Amino acid sequence: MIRIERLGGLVAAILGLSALAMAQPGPRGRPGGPGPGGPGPELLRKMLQSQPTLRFSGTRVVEFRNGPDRVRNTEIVLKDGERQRIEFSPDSPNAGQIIVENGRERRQYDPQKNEIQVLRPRREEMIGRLGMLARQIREGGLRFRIDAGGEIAGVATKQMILTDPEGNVVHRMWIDPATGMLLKREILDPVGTRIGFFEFTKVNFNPRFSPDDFRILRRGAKVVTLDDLVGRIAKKLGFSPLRIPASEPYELEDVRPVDLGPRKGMMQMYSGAKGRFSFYQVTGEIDQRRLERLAGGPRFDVYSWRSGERTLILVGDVGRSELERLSKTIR
Amino acid sequence: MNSEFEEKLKREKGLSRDEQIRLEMALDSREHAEIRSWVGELTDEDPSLAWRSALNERLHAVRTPVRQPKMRWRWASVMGLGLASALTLTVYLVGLKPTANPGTTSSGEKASVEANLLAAHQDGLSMLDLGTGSPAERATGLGQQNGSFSEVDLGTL
Repeated sequence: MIRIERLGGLVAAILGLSALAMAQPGPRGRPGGPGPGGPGPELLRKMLQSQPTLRFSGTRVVEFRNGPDRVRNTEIVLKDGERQRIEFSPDSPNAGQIIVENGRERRQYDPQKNEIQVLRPRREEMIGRLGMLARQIREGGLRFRIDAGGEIAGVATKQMILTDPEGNVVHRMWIDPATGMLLKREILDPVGTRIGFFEFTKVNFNPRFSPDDFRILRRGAKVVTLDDLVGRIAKKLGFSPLRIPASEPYELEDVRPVDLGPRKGMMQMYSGAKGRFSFYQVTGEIDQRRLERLAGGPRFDVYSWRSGERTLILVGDVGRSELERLSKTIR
Repeated sequence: MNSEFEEKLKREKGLSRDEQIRLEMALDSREHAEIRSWVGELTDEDPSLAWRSALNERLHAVRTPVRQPKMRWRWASVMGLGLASALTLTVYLVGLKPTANPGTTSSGEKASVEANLLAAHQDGLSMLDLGTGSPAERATGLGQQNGSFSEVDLGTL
C-alpha cells in the first residue's frame, strides 16, 4: 500500500510534467510563458523516470546554511534505485554519521549518541517538491530555460534555470541528459545569494554494491522515531508533546529546539501535497503583526494563538485558512 | 640705527635695498661675530639618564591632569551618543509596537524572536531540500536552523 502511494507520487509528478510539456510549447522567453516547453519538462521527466533504476556511486559536496554559518559536508553516495547510502568524509562536520534509505524509510546513525533515527525517505519528498515546481511552472509562478551546463564530475550536463516571473533565478539544476542524474543543484534566496547547493565531484555509473551497504546493523544503538523526538525535546524544554495528528495529510519531517535567546522554542516541520509548514511552541508572547510582516517577504502565511504561558505558531505556504484549520487539530 | 629704521624692524615692515644692506652689515659687525663664536664654543652636553627620568616624571605628572578631562569628555560624548541612540530607538520601536499586545516584553526581543522563527522555518526547508539531514543537529540544534529550501531539494533522488 505504501509502495503504491509512493509510486503514485512519482506518477503524479511525471504526469504533471507531461501536462506542463503539452501546455507550454511556446518559444523560448515568450512573455508570460515559462520558456521552451519541450526540453525543460523532458529533462525533468527524464530525471524522474530514471530514479527507480539509476545506479551509481559518487562523491558530492553539500553546503547549506545553518543560522549565520554555512555548513559544508563531503558525502560519499551509493545509489541503487530506491536504495541509497550516504557517509561523510572525515573532515566533514557530520563525519561518522551514516544515512541509509530504502524507499520506505530513512535511517540516520549518530555514533556520538549511539542512536538510529528513523525518518521519512527524502527521495519521496524530493519527487513531491519537483512536482510542486512543475505545478508552479504550469501556473506561471516560475519560468525556466535550458542552457548548456558544461561538465560536472566529468559528465556533460544541461542546466535548467528556474526564475520567478520577474526573472530572478531561484534554482539551477545540472542534469545528465543521458542518465537523468541530477549532478548539481543550487538554491538561491530572493536577492540571488546561494543559500544551498550540492555538486558531485566524482561519479561511477558501474558500481559494485554489497547488500550490507543499504542496512544499518548496530547492536545496542537506540532506535528513535520523530515522535520519540517530539516527546524528548518537549520534555527537555518543559512543553507539552503537541503535534499535528498523523491522520492529517501531512508528514512530520523534522523536530528540533529553536534558539530564541532567553526564551524557549521548539519547532516541528511538516510536509504534504499542499506545501510545508512549521509548528512552533514558544514561551511568552510574540508580535503577530511583526511576524506576518516579516513572513510576507518569503510569502509564508502565519497563524498564532496563546495557550497558557506559551504561544503556538504555524508558519508555512499552505494558506492561512489551512493553518487555522490545522491549529484546531493539534493535540 | 635711526629711529625710522628701528621702527621698520620692530614692525617687520619691508626694507629698501639700502636698508637691507645696512641690516646685513650690522649683523656682521664685530660684536655679533663675538657672540656667535661664544655660542659655537659651547659644548653639547647630553642630559644624564637620571635627569631625563626626572624630566619624564615631571612631564607625566603635568600631562595626566590635562588628559583626564579630555578622556572624561570623550567618554561622556560616547555615552551621551549611546543614550541618545537608545532613546531614539526606543521611541521608534515603541511607536511601532501594536497596541493589541500591551503585556509583552521589549520590542527588540520580540523582533528577534519573530525573525528567528522565520529563519528557522526557512533553514529547515533548505536542509530538507538539501537531503543532508544531520541527527546531531536535529538532537542538539539549539542554534538557528536556517534554510528556505530543504534537504529534499539538495538531496539525491
